[in-house]
Amino acid sequence: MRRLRFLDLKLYLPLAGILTLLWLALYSATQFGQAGEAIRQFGYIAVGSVVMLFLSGLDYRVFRKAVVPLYLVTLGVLGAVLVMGESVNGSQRWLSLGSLGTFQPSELAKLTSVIVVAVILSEKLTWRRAAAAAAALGPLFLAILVQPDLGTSLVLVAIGVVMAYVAGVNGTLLFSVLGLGASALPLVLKEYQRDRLMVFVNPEIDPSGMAYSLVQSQTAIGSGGLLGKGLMKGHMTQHGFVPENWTDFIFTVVGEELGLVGGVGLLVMFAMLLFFILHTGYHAVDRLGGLLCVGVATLLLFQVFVNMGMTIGLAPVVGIPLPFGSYGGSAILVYMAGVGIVGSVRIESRIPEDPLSDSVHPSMEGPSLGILSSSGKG
Amino acid sequence: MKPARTFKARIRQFGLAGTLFLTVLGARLYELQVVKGSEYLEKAHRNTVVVEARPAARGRILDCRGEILVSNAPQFELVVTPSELRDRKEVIKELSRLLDETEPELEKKIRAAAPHAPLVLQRDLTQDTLARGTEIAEYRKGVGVRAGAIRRFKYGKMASHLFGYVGEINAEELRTRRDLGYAMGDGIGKVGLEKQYDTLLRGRKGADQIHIDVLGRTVSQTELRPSTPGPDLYLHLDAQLQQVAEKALGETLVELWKQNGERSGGTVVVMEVKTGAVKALASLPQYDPVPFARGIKYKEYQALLDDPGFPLVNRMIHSAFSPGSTFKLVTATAALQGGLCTTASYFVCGGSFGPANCFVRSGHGGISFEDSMAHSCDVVYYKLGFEMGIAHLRKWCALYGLGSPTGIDLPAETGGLLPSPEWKLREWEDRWYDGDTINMSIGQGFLLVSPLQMAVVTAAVANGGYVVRPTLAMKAVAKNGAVLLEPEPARTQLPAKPEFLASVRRGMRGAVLHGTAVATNLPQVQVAGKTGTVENSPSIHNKHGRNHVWFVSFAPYDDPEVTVVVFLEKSHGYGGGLAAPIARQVYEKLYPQGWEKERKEAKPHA
Repeated sequence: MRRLRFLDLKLYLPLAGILTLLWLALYSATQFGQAGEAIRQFGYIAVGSVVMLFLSGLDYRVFRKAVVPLYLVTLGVLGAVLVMGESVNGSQRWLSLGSLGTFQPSELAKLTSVIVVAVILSEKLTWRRAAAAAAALGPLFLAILVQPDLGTSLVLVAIGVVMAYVAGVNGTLLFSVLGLGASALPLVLKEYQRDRLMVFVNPEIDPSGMAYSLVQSQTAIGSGGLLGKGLMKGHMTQHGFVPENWTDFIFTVVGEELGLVGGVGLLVMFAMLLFFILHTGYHAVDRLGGLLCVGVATLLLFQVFVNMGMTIGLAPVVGIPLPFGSYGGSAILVYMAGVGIVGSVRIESRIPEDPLSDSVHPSMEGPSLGILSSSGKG
Repeated sequence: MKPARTFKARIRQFGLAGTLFLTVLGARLYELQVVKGSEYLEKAHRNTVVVEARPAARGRILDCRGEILVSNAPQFELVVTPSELRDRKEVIKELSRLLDETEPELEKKIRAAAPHAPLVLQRDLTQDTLARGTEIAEYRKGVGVRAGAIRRFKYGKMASHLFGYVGEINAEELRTRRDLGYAMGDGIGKVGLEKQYDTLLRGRKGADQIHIDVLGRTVSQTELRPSTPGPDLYLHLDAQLQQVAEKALGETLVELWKQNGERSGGTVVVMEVKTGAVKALASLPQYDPVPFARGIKYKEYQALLDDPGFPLVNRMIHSAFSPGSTFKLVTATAALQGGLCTTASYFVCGGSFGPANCFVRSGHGGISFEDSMAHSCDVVYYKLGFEMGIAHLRKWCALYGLGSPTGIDLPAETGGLLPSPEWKLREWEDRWYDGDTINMSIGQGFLLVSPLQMAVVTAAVANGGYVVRPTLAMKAVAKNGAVLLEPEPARTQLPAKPEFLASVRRGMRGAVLHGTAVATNLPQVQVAGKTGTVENSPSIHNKHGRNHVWFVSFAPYDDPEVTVVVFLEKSHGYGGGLAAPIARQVYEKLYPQGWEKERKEAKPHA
């Protein structure tokens, strides 16, 4: 892979920091009871790193060809999980892979969505292409919604909306459609999902039931103070007062044991990672590269905000994992693959143009349809 | 295509929005950890006072004489606390050998459990398992052996359908009962009386307050509230009578198994006709409740599910069958009330009515209304059913309670099936024919009833027109003597003329004296009864299409006290030959030689 000579380490450094911090948190949360999990997670990170470097070395434009099989495979595994998936906490999200553990197709669907939308919208924006992108996301969205996994299906919505916006779809129009969709939400929510929303609005109504996790996680984080209680010394973490703190509530461990310094440190590292991803998108040589970066950034930002927000009382419990943190092989692989694709885009913009070639990238600027872009007139 | 200006501008907007989102998270962290940090720190330390429930002894179940049928016995159980386990794989391997469960199964159980609470892996350990388990607990942190209680059944399998069993509460049950004080790991009645009266029998948990220090050690433990044991539940059931009924029924079933080469089931119910108090309720085959009490293994449960005798089905209330000729009690009442005949009517049976044949193919010749009951002449009822029509017949079925559950204090009771022309159109997409009514008037065809429903019908005929609600529970008495439950007999009146019911009773008496049920003609007590034989076509559960047989009866004839209803599934043969002899044994137990004299002596002032 000759391209890897142009690899930009800046992109991967914040990621390494995030992975280290969150792995320590996982180790701390599982040192008793599920001690094997941290070791297994280490294995996933190692595999993820290989996948990430491989994708960085690969020219991302192969996705123009690979997108159709990728999409069909994703739909296939989503269908399979509905038919024979393992049920965790009442919804079917996992496929068993025997001794390799389990595989969560909805994680793959997130990355597939980014790639599909990027490929479709990478050409000149037309009504037809915008509709095609929506139509491609629809089946993925529905298959995840009926699992039921509201959280992940909302991630797909966020990906679709943000990517469409950056691609040039009229903002007013886009957000009106989004608003209409949101107003239909109460009709499709399951009872327990509605309960969770209610509890989010008023945690006092059920302090020992569903709101328990929320109250406990806020208490744990709050009690961490400025500097935290020290790694492996979190009182609430170590004695099991925060349920499931090795999965969706991993941030409580950071908050309690490493305090504000650790929490904000994590935020800063995420901010740096997101900055480099968007920077890559900004300077990408083509729309495909730019949109891929925007999609990956949306995926990360949305999940960071909703997951952390959940633990500190800013968002309802919808079961969205913290990228690179929440335990699970398929999740970590997917996010690292996402960063790998961004790496490929970044390399492409760093390869000096061949002076002998006169085939300059076509510079057809901007969407030509005025109705599609509010700022197109400017 | 190269990125456009708009494109870049919008990426900048996205960057700004992202910064905003992350800043909001940071600000909230600052608020929680710095502004309110000390407040939360204090709260976190308060968290270490935990209130732990102290289990209550489950209430016992006793029969009408006060004999203890279901009680609690001490037992030892093996528990693990998942979060304390070290070398998990090794421990699971050892436990898998000890408990005869596969490693993945154990792993799955432990993974699904709450990490910091003890999880019971097996109850009622045998001596060997207990010894070995204690040994493992010595050197494996997180594994323990503790004392607990288990249900003990005095008569083993007897009446297991009726008592039911207790199992660990599942997520679905917990979701709806959290408010009632149920918690993870609690036992809960899964079927039978244990389920019906669970909230009563479980008593009230006590509570202990436990202070835990920062390292998770217990500092002190104080009792906040003592537990209240569950009350004693007295039943109308008579354990001795139940044993007689089960023995008679069981012997017949074994006989039938040999004869037919096929497992079949049967039921016997004995109920007081005036109050609905149930004195015996047998449904065979039944299951051994002990494996359920200690936590049934998958293999054992699968074996019960695969058993061709369906021992998990309580045929008394879970199943419904055609009533056969016992249904003539209802047809006869409906006919007399509808004015289609009188108690003195006289019919001619030529052996068939249209295409429908009589039970006696050669015909009964001239026959009176009451003798048609005694000799089970189908032609008379074909004619009456045809003339009254389905609406009238249905009305009387419903009045007798057919088509809806009897309301006995047991869960999951079926209401049977009371068909109607609308129902047939919906389910069969065909209209209701006169032939359907004619079939139904002798208890064949679409109508399905549970054996318990037939007991209620028979009781109503016997007691002069009251449809009673069968009841098992007599009273529940708390340890301090307070009576917590004492169900009043419930009954509704049938709008039937007393003389019509008396006529039906005379017909039933005739069946015992000189008709189809002479097997129950006892010298010491006057029994009245009606036999039934249900013709079946071959089906999945009845490959040879063998007959079901019935016998419904009551005694004493002149002042009815009890009804005895016997039902045998796919037994082959006839009600008079197979079912009536079982009822005879029950009556012999209920009314031994000289019972009248004994009663007078027992109540000299009455």
